[in-house]
Amino acid sequence: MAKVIFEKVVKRYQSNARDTVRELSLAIDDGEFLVLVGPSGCGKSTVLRMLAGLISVTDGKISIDGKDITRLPPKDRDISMVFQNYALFPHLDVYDNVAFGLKMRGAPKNEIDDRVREAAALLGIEPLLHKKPKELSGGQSQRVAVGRAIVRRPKVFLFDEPLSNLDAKMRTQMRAEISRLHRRLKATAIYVTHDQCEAMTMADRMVVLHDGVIEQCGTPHEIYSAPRNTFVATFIGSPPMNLFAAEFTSAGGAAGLKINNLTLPLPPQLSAGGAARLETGRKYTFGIRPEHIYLAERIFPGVNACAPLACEVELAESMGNDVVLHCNSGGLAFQASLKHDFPVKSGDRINVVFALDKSHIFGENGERGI
Amino acid sequence: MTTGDERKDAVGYVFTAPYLLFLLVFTAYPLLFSFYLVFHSWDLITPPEYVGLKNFYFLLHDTDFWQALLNTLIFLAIHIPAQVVFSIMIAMALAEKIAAKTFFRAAFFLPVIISGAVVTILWAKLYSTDAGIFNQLLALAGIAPVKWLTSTGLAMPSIAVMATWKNMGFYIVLFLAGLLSIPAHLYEVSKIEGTTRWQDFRYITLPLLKPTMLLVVVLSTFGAFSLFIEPYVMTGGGPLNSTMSVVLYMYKQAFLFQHMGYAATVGFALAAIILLVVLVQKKYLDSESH
Repeated sequence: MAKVIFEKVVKRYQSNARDTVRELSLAIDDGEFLVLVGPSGCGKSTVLRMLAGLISVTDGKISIDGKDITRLPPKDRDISMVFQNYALFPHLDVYDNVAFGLKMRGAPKNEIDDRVREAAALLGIEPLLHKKPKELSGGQSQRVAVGRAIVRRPKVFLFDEPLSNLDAKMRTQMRAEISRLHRRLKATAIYVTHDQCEAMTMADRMVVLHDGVIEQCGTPHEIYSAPRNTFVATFIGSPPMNLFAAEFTSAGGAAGLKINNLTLPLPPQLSAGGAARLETGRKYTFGIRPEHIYLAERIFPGVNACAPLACEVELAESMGNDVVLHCNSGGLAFQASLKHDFPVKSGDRINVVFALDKSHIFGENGERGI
Repeated sequence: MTTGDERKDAVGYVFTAPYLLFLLVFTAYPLLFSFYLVFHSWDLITPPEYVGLKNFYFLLHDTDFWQALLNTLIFLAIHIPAQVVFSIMIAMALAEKIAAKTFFRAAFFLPVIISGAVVTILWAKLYSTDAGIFNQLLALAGIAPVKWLTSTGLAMPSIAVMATWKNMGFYIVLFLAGLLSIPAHLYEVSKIEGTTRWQDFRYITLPLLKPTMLLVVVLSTFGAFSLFIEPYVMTGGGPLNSTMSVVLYMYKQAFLFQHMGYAATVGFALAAIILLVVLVQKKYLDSESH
């Protein structure tokens, strides 16, 4: 069992500076794969390094399995960490790199050998055991770094952007390997990344951090389908969610949202009583993901769509499977992501519809809560 | 080749000409001339006289030369380990977050830029048997004066201590650069893996400082074999030739006794010995780091 709990944890690097991490509270279940995701400088690596004991905690408490580890030295926390730049010892071969922790802790030689070979077999690095790090590729180096982390069988694994230095193909491969390894080891893992794709594909649960606070914590599906605020809405998802400043209107008896000169009917999730919570004349933000905008003539049956919207395609970016259209409808700019089987090119005029049942409404402060 | 290329080459030669001239006059010519002298006897006044391999024969049977070589090796045996050990220790201290770090870095480097002759005169006063500060400090502790520079057993070690102090700043800078180039992540790994400070030093710092150490050992070997100014100023090679270094011996042969051919032979023998020692050091340190 390895349950990790952060209780109102604060990190301030200098006494007069603003907090890098602000009263962060979070519980990570035993065996869970939790991903901390956020833009550069949001404090995600700081959170991980405080858990590792590599930097001090200014205030608050961190515990593993109920034991307060806030002030314990790293070696007494029963954790291991995989670093972005692998952090392999250049003068040691792969075997000695993997065995390093066990050797330093004075484990018996035969036990070290058994464990190193077991980890090597698990990661497929047996043929590399006598090579030096400089002879390894990026992917191989990261496997060795993972091997060094698992060989000691710690309670908690920490990953600090471990795939950032790899090329796109190797990243995808290693992503799957780490996920498989986690399922096999069933240990608690905390993984830091700025790559939302990694976060979405690997996490049991993900935490979106911004400016040292948790913006949202939930399963990847929850965060994608019900972002708590406009920051999460635009940070998760590529291309990002389209956001429009909107006003609630009930002119002529029909409740709707006024965006520029366009009036959209209320989304179905709001029209059944939610309208009462919207106030006439108040500002809201209407959000729609690019993949929830369809060509009017290709709308799927059952989609609750608004009236067709004529727009000009300013730019069409082919992504292989999809094409991202940068559209403009009378000054209203947005992006739509369509399947590639419909030939659209820059300069075309097309009609699109918004799938209102997939849309999002945020309050004036950018929070969902409506 | 086109005319343009030829002009380009000519410009290149013009720009390199001053240095080439310097090299020819002050390096190539003396080197070639001293090689010529190896096979000659010359007293600076009469024309050089061809003597074949006589200078080498004499060198092999010259007990004073072998004494000078032994003295130099004693100096080397004290100076190099002391240089490496103290430079690493001080560099490690200076790499930490300590107060007045910049002051200490400058202070340790200061002796390097002070003239060798000045430092030597200063240390000769410190080592003075009657009025030197070392003996005064010993007297405070009730210890009898020590003949730092006038005893055959202590004179060379005393010079080695002074030379180590004088040159250490330079090697501290080299080790500091080596230490700062070790990635901080490696120490973070070791913190997590639970190493002691000694294990950090033994298994991370020391192996990763091997290239710097090789450089320091080679450079200080060159320096140690070139030992001249310190014994020249402090002891004149005495007492009883106990601080006579090979270079000082070569100097005396050349400019005191006008044995220019023999001095050149000593010089070439020294170059061969340095080459041999450095090759052995390199081989040992290379195999250690692999």
